Amino acid sequence: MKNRLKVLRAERDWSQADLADHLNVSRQAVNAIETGKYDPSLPLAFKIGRLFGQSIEDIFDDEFQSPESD
Amino acid sequence: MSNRSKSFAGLFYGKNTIHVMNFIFVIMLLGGAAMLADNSFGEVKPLSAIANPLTSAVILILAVPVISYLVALGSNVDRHCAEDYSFQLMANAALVALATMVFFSLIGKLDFLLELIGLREIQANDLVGITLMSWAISFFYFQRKGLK
Repeated sequence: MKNRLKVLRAERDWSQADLADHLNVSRQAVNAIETGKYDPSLPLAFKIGRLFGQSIEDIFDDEFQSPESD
Repeated sequence: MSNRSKSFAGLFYGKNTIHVMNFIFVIMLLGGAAMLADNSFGEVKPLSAIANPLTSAVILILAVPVISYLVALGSNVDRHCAEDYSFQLMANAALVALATMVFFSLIGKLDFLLELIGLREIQANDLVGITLMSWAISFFYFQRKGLK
C-alpha cells in the first residue's frame, strides 16, 4: 500500500521520531509504514489522518481498481 | 467464479479460508487431546505413587484450555500495551516459531533420519531452545523484510 506519510512529514519538517512521538508509536513503526513494510491498523490510520487533517484515502492508496474502472 | 477459487488451492483463499481453518483446528484439537491421552497410557515414568494414566490424561487435557485461556488474557494485555507494529512482529514470528518447533518435533521422531544425518535424539529442552531461537530470528526477519 502506497502512502504520502513521508511527504506530509517533510512538509512539517518533522523527523520520523517527531511523527512517532505524535502518534505514540516507535520510530521503527513510522519507518516501516513509510517504506511500505507494514500497513497500519485502522485505529492508527485514523490517528494519522486526524494528525494531518486528511482522510485515510488521501494519505493511503490501496491501489485497488474497481472492475468498472477497467 | 475465478479459476483460483475453483481449484483445490482455491479452498484456502478468500471466504473459504475460515471454514478450512475451522476444520483443521478441530482436527488439531482432537489430535492433541488424543496424543496427551495416548502418552499418559504409554511408557511414561510416573513421578508420584498416586499418579495413574487416567488422572494424568484428564489433568493434562483440562490444564491445556485453562493455561491457554490465561495466556490469551496475557496476550490481550500485550496487545493493548504494545504498539500494533511490535505486536504484529511478535505474533507473526511466534507463528513461524511454532511451525518450526512442530517440524523439529516431527523430525525428532524419525530415528532413521537422525541416524542418517548423525544427529542425536531431540529432547523437550531442545524444542524449547529451537522455539526461542526461531521466534527471535523470525522477529528480526519480519522487522527487516516487512509484514506484508
